[in-house]
Amino acid sequence: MIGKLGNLLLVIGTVVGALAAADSVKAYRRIDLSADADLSGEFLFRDVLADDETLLVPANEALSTERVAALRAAGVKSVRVRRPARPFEPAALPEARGRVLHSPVTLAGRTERIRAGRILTPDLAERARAAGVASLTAREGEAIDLAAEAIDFSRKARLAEEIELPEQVPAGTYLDEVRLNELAAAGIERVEVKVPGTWNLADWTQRWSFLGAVLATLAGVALLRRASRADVQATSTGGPAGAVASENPHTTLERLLTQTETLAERVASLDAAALHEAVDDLLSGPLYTLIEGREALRARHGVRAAVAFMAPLAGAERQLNRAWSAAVDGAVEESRDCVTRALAPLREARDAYPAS
Amino acid sequence: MHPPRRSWTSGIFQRRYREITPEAIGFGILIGVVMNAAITYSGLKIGFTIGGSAIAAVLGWGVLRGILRKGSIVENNVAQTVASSVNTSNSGVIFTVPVLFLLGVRIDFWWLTAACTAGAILGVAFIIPTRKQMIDCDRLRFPTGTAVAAVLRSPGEGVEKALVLMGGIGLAMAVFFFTQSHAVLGIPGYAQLGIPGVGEDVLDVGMWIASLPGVGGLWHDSFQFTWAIAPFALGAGFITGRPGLVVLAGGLLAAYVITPVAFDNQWMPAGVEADGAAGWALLNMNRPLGIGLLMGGALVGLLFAIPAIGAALKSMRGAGESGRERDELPLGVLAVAVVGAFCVLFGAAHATVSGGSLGQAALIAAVGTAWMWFAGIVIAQCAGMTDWSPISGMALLTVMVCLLLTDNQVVPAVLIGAAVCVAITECADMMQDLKTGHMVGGSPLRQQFMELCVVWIGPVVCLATVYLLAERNLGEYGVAFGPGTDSPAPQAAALQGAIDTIRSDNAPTGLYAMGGVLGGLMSFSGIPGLGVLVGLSMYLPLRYLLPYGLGCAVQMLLSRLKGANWTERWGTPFAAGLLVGEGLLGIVFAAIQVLRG
Repeated sequence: MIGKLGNLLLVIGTVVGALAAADSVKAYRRIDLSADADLSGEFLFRDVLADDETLLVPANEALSTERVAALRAAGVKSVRVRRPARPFEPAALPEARGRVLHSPVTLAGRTERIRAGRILTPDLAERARAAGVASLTAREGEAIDLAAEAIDFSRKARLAEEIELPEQVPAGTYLDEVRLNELAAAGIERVEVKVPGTWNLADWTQRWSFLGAVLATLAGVALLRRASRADVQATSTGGPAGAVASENPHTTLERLLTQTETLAERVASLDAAALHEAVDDLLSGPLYTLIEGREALRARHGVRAAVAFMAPLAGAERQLNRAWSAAVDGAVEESRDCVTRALAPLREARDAYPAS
Repeated sequence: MHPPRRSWTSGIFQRRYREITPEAIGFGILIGVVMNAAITYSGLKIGFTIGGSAIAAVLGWGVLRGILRKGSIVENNVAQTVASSVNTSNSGVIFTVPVLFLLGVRIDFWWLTAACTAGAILGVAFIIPTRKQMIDCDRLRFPTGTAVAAVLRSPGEGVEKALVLMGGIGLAMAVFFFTQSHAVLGIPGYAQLGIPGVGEDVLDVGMWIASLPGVGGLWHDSFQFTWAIAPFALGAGFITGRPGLVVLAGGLLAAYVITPVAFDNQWMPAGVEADGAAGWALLNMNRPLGIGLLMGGALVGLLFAIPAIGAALKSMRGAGESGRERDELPLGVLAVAVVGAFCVLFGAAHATVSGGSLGQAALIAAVGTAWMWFAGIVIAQCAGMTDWSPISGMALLTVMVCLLLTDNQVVPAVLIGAAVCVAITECADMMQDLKTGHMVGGSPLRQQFMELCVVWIGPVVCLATVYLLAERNLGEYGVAFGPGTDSPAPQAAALQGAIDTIRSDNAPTGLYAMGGVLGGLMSFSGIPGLGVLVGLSMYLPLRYLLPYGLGCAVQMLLSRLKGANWTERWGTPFAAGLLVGEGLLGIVFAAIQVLRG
């Protein structure tokens, strides 16, 4: 019951927390029109409608003083504005240092040669169009009309001839000293740069939900750990014992060791096929059972005890796996040796297994 | 009194049972180099990469046993270890390096190669000490490693099991063939059937549900219920079993809770329609939140694992002192490898940071190295628990940290990012190989020795392929990669977008932090890897998670009906076949694309 409640709280906490976190990056923020705040530079996120569904102000309109007054007069208490207000802003070159270019900048007087063979893309078509190119020729000889409404770019037409276009600094370019000098040399004074993201705690309306979700998750975690401890206690006092319920692990371990010792004693008399079969039985029998019960061991005795036991047990398992492979390959001597070599780590595992 | 110490090298070369042999090394290197070049090429063209272990294991039987008539199971294991070690670096490189070409900056080939090689060595050296904890003690499944072991063990498993394995391989190949047949061979595939909702490699089950009378009205516009036609995901899910089911949780949370709630409440900008809602939510909400969950969960998980790692390290040291045959490479050897690789990384950082001091280069190299250790463990754990490696998330975080350290200099940031990505892919691959080795009785010491000897080859081959392709493209198109060429490098283009976001101060750091808090708390629950798995699946494509989850559910059902032992003995070989079959055909398709140029 405690475990189920813990799981439920964990799920609720995670879902609510994730939603509250996602809310922090939503594309709008709500502003109160009753306050006397300066709203110039803000843009409406969506259409603002009156109670009778008539349009008061369309989306993306700037909130001028007159518009705000009109909205107040219409009884509108708050509106949603774009966040950020603009994705880009104009900047003089010196102020653009360390910013990222939002739109491509054409460098007047400088040209770039676009080689024949270049695949025509929407960007390239747009550049050519802007440079006054009316049509291009594809390698197949077909003319591509750049004025056409729909050009099929999916067929990846290649240019038949080289063309010259004004050189461009592409959008996304980081404006460091070198780039700024290049732009200045081309006579550019202002560019459009991306606006850095701003994060304001007050805009995150679901912050308390996030805090609640964290607390719910915390409570769920505490309950799950408590339930896990209770399970371990129940196991050690005869309750359900997980994967190794049918046999005490000590007994299984002793059985595995005895079987391996017996096999090691008669290993010289076995051929490859018999070795293969005998090792296969060990691997799929007691060893498999012990390995499947590792989580119960870890829960009951802790990580260090589990490592002290599992590391040599896995070493023995690897030697038996090697014995199996060598038997399949007909390397009988190696297979026999591996069976013998498995004994030492098995004894180490037995000695490391916690007493209770 | 302790028995006399034996040199660690004395156990590596033994002749009684074929393990490390010139044939295995030669074959492994050859197949690794070919796969690396082919997969790098196809990865830059279509953006997907394939692991090499399973392919090398299958080919290994053909060459070592079939043609040379002398390969043993553990020898083939060494061959696949070498091959996958040489091959695997490509996924780290193609995620990162082409970004520099896309941004129009060039970097010295040799410094880049040196950094990536250092990363590969660091990845191997860092992950070796965690083998005991992950494989021996935690018994992580490493589905690909398990599948490869099933292939290697097939000669000893009897005819019936071999048939089951072959059945899985055959079925996977038959199903996967028609996902690529049209694009690669011109043979009609699924999309050409003309059935609504059936795409090239996906089934839009959601569309079918939405069209059902009486049900369609309940179906939310932004819901996505598309299934990838991906037998490998089904197989990986089956091998993972019940623990993998948690992976679905994050996918469901992202796709069926966050996305529709965000869409309905107009949290998305105007203009985002229902069919674009999932894409917007992935980039702006689910991925950053998922990365945060993953990192928070991993950090707390690592704190919990420290006693186990410490005990495992003690056991490693004890093995050296007891005089018993060594299991692992000695810690001293690993320390030398780490110091050497760090020095190379420092040199590369110093050579590429513009106007930077020695102290700044040392800081970058130190942070990069520490990050490799942490991220490597995270990636190896993810691969062990689910078979998925969240390289994209790690690459993004790495580049973000490096941009911070270098004052937004993209060249050293991508250089260190590439080294880290190579390191973490090697970590995951190494652990997959060691899992295979454990299951076939291979010697970890010999596998680790071989991996450390050949791991440098991968970055050299991969980067040479990238630069050759870039040169060819520059000659043919005038640009190296990206739009306008036939090598769009889609993964690097995604990273370029992320770099753009970071440099314009728009990185969603708040979401990373909030996800970190939730993921950290979840890892306190005692459910192994909970925060990591939920976080990982929040940004993996749901279309792959669904068949993966189905595989987990089928395994659980079969275990209940037929017993765990039966399911392991008969179900795992079939699932292994599904995993291997798709990989085999994938490399054939990649090879065809390379041959066509």
